[in-house]
Amino acid sequence: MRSELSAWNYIRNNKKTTGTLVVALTMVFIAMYLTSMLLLTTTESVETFMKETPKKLSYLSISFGAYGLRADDYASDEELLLAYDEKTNELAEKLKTVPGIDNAYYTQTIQYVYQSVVGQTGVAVPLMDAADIPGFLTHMEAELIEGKMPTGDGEILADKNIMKNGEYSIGDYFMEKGYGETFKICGVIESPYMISVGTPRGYTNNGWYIVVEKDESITDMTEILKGIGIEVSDTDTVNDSIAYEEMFKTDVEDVLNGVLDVVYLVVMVFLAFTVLIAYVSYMRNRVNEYCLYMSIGYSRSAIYRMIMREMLILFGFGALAGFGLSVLGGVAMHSLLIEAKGLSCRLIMPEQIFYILASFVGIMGILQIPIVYSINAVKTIDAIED
Amino acid sequence: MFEVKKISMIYDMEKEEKLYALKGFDLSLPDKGLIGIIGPSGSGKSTLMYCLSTLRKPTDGSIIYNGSELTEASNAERERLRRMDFGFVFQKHYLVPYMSAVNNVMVAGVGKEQQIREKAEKILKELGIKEREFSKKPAKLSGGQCQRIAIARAVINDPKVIFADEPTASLDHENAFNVMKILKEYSKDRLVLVVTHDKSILKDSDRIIEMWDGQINMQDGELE
Repeated sequence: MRSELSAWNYIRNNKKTTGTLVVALTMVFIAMYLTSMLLLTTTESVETFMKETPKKLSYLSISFGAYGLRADDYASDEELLLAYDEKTNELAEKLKTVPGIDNAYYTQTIQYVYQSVVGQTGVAVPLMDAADIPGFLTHMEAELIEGKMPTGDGEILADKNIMKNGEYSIGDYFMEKGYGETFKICGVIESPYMISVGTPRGYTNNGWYIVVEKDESITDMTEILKGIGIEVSDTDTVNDSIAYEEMFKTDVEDVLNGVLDVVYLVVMVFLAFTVLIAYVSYMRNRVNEYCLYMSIGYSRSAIYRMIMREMLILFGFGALAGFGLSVLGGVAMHSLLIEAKGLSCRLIMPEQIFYILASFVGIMGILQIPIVYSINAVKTIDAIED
Repeated sequence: MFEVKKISMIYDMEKEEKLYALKGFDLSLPDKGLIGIIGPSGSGKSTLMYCLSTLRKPTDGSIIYNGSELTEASNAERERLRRMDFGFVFQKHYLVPYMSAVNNVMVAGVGKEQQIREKAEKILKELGIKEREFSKKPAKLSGGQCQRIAIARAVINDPKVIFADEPTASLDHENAFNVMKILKEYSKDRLVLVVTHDKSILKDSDRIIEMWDGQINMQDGELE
């Protein structure tokens, strides 16, 4: 016995009503997907700086105390600073002997402010003698793709994404707002670690650090320092893989995921409310139809299955159209906003698609309340005619 | 086909003064023929039809249909009877407003879609609905056409019994006459029960049951 009511009859014959719901679901999908994409552009763009670069490069700033230097032991600040430089250079030499460390040197850095869609991140740019730069580039697997290598003071090789991000051309001054006309871009480099490097010019800098060129086997510089007799404390700066990993999680991922959760929640509450009202209205308009089905021998469960199939088709169309248009929108956004600014983000984000679909399923779950209530209230036609 | 014993139906059971819609009478109905049930409003004629068609359960008594006790039938069995054995024509046509004429007939059909469609179109043609009307929705059809589509929906599964509750109430005289002609034709080898308070439409009926105050006042009565 054929006992299934077709879900297509209603959808085919009520294109305006069902189309409105599909369009609403599509728009929600697009809004959620593209919002996720914008927020995750920040996460994914800084991921290279905070998770990849530290695998090959660490920055250390050791305090006087960690070296056992006390101001009282020196006649003047100059003497103290001389002693500090000596200890630091000694430490750099010791670090060079550690297996897994290719090079270590005490040098100036400047900071590039990498602008993302949401927020910004400071990225260290080491300054060194022009003669040391080729070795640094080799370690960082970087290649000069445009311009020339630095030869004089205050010249910068900038990563190609930083060039886009800062809207720089060769010959422009690097971070002019912060450093004035001090560092001139002489070339563009490409590297999986998105690094930039330059030569110093006077004392204009972002601080002095021991730059450690290392391989991926070394993740915990605190342990390495401990091994050579330096006990670091909170006053020391040890920017290694572990520190960056933690910073990435707490300062970037957790914050942006929190924002994303709030966005999802607000959109879903709004959507659930809207769809709930729309569905209650649909079902009220169809009471006589359901009564007819009951009267001519369809069971309540057959009517329920028809409503559920209708809902699945509408949500399915909404999700499919939403996904297709989101990818198209994503391609446009990627080329106009993300790639053009030297940022990065995946076009297809399976976990976000999963969250959106899970939200849709959640709304379908909420809709069970009015549906089950209405189905149970359906009577046969004799009750209407009384 | 139907053997009704001491059937009674009480509304407002919880009230002190109970309202008897059916007051414990017996009735026997044959396998075929056009049978009219007449009576004034509140006489219990519609309640009797609803009980026979399993839409309602009587308060007391027994309804035997083809040897089976309907009052003890499960919900699934009652639904099966309404799908397969019984056809319904209501006072209003209750066509689904967004469906075409042919889909309104098909919605009650049991079987493969293509076969149901062919059958629905054949019945509609037999009932005088032109092919160009098949795709029209109820709002674009006349009252008479809608009631004929409702009849087509009622007969799509070749039911053994058709229950027609005031099938001509919303029709003009000519359309009422045509609808009764169709039902009379169907009653040649099936049972058609027509509930009405309009005696004039029952002139071709094989039997008339007159009801009054929840009881059968007269059976096999001749029309005046």
